[in-house]
Amino acid sequence: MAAQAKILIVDDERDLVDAYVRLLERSGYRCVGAFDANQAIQMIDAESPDLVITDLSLPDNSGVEIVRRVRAKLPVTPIIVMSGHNTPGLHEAAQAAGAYISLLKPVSIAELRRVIGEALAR
Amino acid sequence: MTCYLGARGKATVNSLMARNDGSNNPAESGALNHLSIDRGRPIRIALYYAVGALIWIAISGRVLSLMPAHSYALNLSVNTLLLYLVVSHYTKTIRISVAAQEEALLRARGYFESAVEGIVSVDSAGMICQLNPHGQELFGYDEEELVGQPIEVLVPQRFHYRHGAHRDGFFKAPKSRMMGRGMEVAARRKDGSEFSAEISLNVVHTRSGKLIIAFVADISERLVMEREARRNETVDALAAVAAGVAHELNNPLAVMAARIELMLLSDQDLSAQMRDDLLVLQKNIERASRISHSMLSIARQRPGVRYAMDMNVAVEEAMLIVGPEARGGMLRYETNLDRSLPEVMAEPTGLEQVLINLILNARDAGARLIRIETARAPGSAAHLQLSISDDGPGIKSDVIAKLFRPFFTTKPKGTGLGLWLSQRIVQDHGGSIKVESVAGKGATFTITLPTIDESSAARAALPARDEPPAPPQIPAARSNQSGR
Repeated sequence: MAAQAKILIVDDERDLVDAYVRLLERSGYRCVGAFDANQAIQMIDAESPDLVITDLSLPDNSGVEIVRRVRAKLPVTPIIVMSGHNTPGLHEAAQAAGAYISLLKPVSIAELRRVIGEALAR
Repeated sequence: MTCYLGARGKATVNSLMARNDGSNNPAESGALNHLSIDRGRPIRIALYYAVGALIWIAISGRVLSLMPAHSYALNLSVNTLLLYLVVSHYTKTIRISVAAQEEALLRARGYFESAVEGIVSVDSAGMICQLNPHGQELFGYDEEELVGQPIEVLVPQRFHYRHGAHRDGFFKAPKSRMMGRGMEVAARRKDGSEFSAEISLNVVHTRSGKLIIAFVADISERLVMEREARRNETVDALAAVAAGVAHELNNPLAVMAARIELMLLSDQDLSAQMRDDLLVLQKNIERASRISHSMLSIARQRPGVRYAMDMNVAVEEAMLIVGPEARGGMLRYETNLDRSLPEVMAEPTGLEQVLINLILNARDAGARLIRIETARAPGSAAHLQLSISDDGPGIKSDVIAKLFRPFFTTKPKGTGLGLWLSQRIVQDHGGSIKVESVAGKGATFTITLPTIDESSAARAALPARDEPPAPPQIPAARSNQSGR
C-alpha cells in the first residue's frame, strides 16, 4: 500500500516543492506541499500524512518545530529532514526530535525515492 | 688579647678574629670556629705552620701587607699565632675561592656546552674566539676551524658589505639587543647553505677587552610553521566562504536536478539529442552537487559520515564516473588493484572526489594513459597506498611547489581548488598525498591512507557487528534507524 501513501513536503523553495510533488506523484504517492511552518502545521493536522519530508533551514529555524509537531501528533509517521547546509547541531536536534533520517541537499531523486521506500516499509 | 688567652686557657679563633679585624663576619668565623687552640704545644705547631705560611705569604705578597696593621701590640707567640690564624684563614679562603672559581668555571662551561642555542664569541677585531657545540652543529664547522676566522664566514656573502659596519657600530655603543629586529636574519653554514636565524647580541668586558657574545637560534622551522599557521587561517576563512556559497547553491541545484528528472520522465517523446543533453545536464548537476558537498565537508562543520570502504571500489566508481567524460579525450586506463587490501574508514563521496579530481587533472594535462595502482604501503602494515600515474607532460618543479595551494591553477578555466580540496580530504582521513614528476615523463600522485585493521580509532567508529552497517548508498545521510 506504500504507493498510496500520503507525503507532506515542506520547503520554502517553492520550485523544489513543486518538482518533488510532481516527481513523487509519478512514483504513485499522493503528495501535498507546504512552504512554511504554519502551512505545514495546518497540513499535519488536516491531512495526517503517512510521511513528512521537511527542510530544516526554514525561516525562524522552524524545521525542528515541524519535526516535534509531527512526532506529537502522528507518532509513527516517519520524518525525513533535509538541509542545504550543516549548521552544527541542527541535524542532531532534528534526529533528537524524532527524525528518521537527515539528508544533505541536494539529494538525488533516486536517493530520495529509496529513502522514502525504506521509511514507509518499516 | 694575651690576657684573654691566659685567663681562659683557650682562645677561640672566633674571638681572636673578632678582636683582630674589628668585625665578626659570621661567614668567615663560621668557617673557622671549629678550631680551638691550646696554650702550650699548639702554639709551637702554629709557629711551625706559620713559617710555611710565611713563605707562602712572601710569594703571594698580598696577605702579608695586612699583617703590620694587625700586629702592633702583640707579643711574639700571639703575634705568631695570629699570623698563623690569619694565614690559615686566608689560605682557606683562597682554597675556598679557588674551588668556587673552579665550580663557576665548570658551570659556565656547562651552560656554554649544553645551550640549545649556538653561542659564538667575537672580539673587537671581528674574529671568532669561541663556538659552542650546538653552534658547531648549527654551522657545520668544528671549533678549531672557526677560531681566529672573521665572523663574516658565518654571514651570507650578500650581507658582508654592511655587516662589518654594523659590527663596529655595535662595539662602539654596545647594548644587548636582538640582531635585525623585525627582519629575517640569514646565517650561512659551512656548506654554503643558509638558515633563518634569530640572533641576540650581548657584550662582556674581559681583561683582554670587549667580547660580543652572539646567541644564535635556527628558526627556519618555526618560520615555516608560522607561515603555515597563517595560511591555514586564510584557508579556513576561505573554506567558510566556500561553504556559504555551497549552501546557497544547494537549493538551486536540487531544483535543477528535480526538473531535469521530471523532463526525462515526461510522457512526451524526447528527441535522442534532447535526452542526451538532459543526461549531460543531469550528470553535471550531480558533479556540482558533489563539489558543493565537499565544500561543506571542508569547512568542517559537518564531517561526512564514514564507512568501512574498499578503495578498489572507489577507484572503479571514479573511473566509471569520469569514464564517459574522458572518452572524448581518448583516455585509457590501466589498473593494478590489490584485492586483498584492508578497508579504510572513509567518507566515500570525499575520497571518490579526490580520485575524480586526480583523473580529470591527468586528462586535462593531456595524458592518454592513466595507471591506477593500489597496494599496501611499503614499510607500514597500517597504511595502504594508491597511486595515479599518467603519461602527460609532467609538472615543472616550480609548479609542484604550489600545486596544493588554494586558487593555484595552470588551467585557463580552473578554480585552483581541486587539488587543495583533495589534499584536505585526504588529510582529514589521516592520510597524505604527494606528487612526483619528471618533465616529459608524466606525473604520479600517491595517496597514503590508514587502513581499518590497524586503526583503533577507526575500529571504534565502526558499527557493532550485530547491527546492519549504515547504508553506503546514501553517503551524505545520517541514519537514525536504530534510534527510534
